[in-house]
Amino acid sequence: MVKTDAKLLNTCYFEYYKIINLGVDKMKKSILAVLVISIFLLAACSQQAQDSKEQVQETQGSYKIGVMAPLTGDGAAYGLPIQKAIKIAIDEVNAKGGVNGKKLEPIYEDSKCNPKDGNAAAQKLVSVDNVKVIIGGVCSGETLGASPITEANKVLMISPSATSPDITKAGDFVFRVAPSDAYAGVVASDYAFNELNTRKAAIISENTDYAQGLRRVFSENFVKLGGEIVADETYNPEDTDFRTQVTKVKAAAPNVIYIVPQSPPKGILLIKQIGEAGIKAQLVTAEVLIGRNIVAENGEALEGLIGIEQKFDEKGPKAAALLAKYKQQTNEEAPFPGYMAGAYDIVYLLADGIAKNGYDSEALKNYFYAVADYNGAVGKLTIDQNGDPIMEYSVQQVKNGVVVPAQATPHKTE
Amino acid sequence: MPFTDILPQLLVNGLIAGAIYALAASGFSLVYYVLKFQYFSQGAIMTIGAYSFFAFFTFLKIGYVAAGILSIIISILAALTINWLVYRPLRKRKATPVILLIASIVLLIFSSSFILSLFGSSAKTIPFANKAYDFGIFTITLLQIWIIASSIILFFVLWFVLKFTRLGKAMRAIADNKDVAQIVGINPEKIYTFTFIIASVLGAVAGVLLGLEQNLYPRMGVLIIVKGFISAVVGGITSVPGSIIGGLTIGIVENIGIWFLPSGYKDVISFTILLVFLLFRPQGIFGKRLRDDS
Repeated sequence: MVKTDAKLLNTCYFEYYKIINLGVDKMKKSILAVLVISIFLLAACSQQAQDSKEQVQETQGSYKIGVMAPLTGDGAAYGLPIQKAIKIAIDEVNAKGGVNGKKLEPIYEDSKCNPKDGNAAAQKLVSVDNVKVIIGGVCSGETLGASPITEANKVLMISPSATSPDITKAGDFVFRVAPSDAYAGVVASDYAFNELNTRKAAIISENTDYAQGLRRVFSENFVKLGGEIVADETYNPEDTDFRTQVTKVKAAAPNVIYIVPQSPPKGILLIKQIGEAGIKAQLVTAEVLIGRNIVAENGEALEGLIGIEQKFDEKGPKAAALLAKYKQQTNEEAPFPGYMAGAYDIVYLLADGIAKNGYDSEALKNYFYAVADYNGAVGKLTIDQNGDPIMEYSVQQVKNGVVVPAQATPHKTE
Repeated sequence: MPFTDILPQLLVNGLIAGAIYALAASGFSLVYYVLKFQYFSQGAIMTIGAYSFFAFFTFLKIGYVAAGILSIIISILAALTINWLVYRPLRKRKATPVILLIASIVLLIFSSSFILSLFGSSAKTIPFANKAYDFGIFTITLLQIWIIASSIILFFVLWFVLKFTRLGKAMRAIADNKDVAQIVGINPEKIYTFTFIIASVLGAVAGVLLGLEQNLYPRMGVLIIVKGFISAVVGGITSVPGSIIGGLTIGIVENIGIWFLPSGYKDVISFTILLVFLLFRPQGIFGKRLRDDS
């Protein structure tokens, strides 16, 4: 504690002298200005040093948990509900007396669903807040952007919802409780080929890590099954006009269109434009567009859409309690129940891990690799040797404005 | 399907996109013409217009027409407030166009954050019974016909106002030489106010149509004004009707371009056009070559 303060003050003085010297060398006139500035700088530095001292003392009675989620932008559609689920779990743990008599203290960072801001958020949590554990990121892009930082600093990162296949290999300290899209894409293409009995598929996907991961898996597996990809179109995250992509898809006359948006707004717009173009093919998507609040608000536009999401029993005791609490606190149905349940479980697993092994990332890492048949809100949770969960999928369909199961037997991921 | 069969649909797609760009470009270009600075806050006015239409229409449940008129009034008030609070004090201090440009970008970013805090980040849809017409060689919706029609109508209205009305003459006089115009008795501040009012009407109409067509989200103005700016440059930034032609050109070239290129390259196409114009025809299609002193 004393050490860091001294270091901080040293850097401040160094900056101070640098500025003074620069001023004297360059121009006599500016000496006064430089002096004034440096006084302010010094004042700010000592203030900062004091601040950090206070902060350390204040938080001695708690374990810091970093949380990375998109809190603004389109990604906030799932970032905010997941943040809320984490908050519910942390409040519950703290209300029961915390862990080892200490409270869990969440530190939220807005990672904005992209690698750049994910990296910055991780950087801040690791080097400023000195956290040993981060829950997040929520999107694949921000998780992949953050993983080089967390790996290098041996900070545990556990995502409730990042599904890109690339995350499996993102590092030893990277975990998740959402299944990899390596399986989701296979489930979607199997369903399209076998159950829907389609042979000509088109894909429209967003240019992001998450969507491209799904696109690749779907396309490879559909071709392997004996189908044909007749059109494969992408769009950039900023685009709002997809008419020419849609025109290209229409010209290719597919039986099924696999749609992979990164976030609901673009997906709804895309489906709207597909409908306006008069395309009648069956639409299949991943999980983003079958968020329950999304379907409630846009039921008409999304009617008939088939979505694939991780299998999740909303009536399990822990899940039901969480969802009821969410509804009570926010007055809306939980939009992404599976991911929210995952986020909730991470907090409880962390609390248990810290209680047993202490607030140490190496020990917590080993704790997470050993998670097997944990009875969580997501259901039975087992973590494999890559830090991925072993989970099942369910195929859902929007019917009369609500999400209902489209298929009786869920696919096994492994 | 061969290219010739799909060409009508691509042209229609391009016209729709282009008409939206044109609507964004026209107000931007008008302010540039009279006040000589890059008015990126037009994107903010469009967002405000779209969101106030949404608020009046879905919360107060008044009809399309009433909501439209109210949102135009809100947009005008917003623009005049911005002018009064920011641009006028800056003009009084003889701020350079670069300062005004920075102020306009700041206002644009501020507005999108302001809308975010008021309405939240999720996209809003305005319920609108949109009919699609299938003409065999292409399909188009009622709203899209409206969008194209309003950009064409605005083209002629703007051209007429600038060319034949007293206000238009005064605007052109200020644009041409502010000092001489003042000598003959034109009050520039008054003309500036009228310019902002007309630009805001254009902005509100653009915002509402865009919101109906592409949903509403806080950053809509930021994204569309960039394309509006490119359109204005290509059409000729000193020619207000030219900016509308510029918008249609960009829209059509983009949409035909991505038939041949992967669709992710759409923005590359429009920015390449911008670069080519800046290098070889900086005055745009319709603009007059600017002298150094202007």
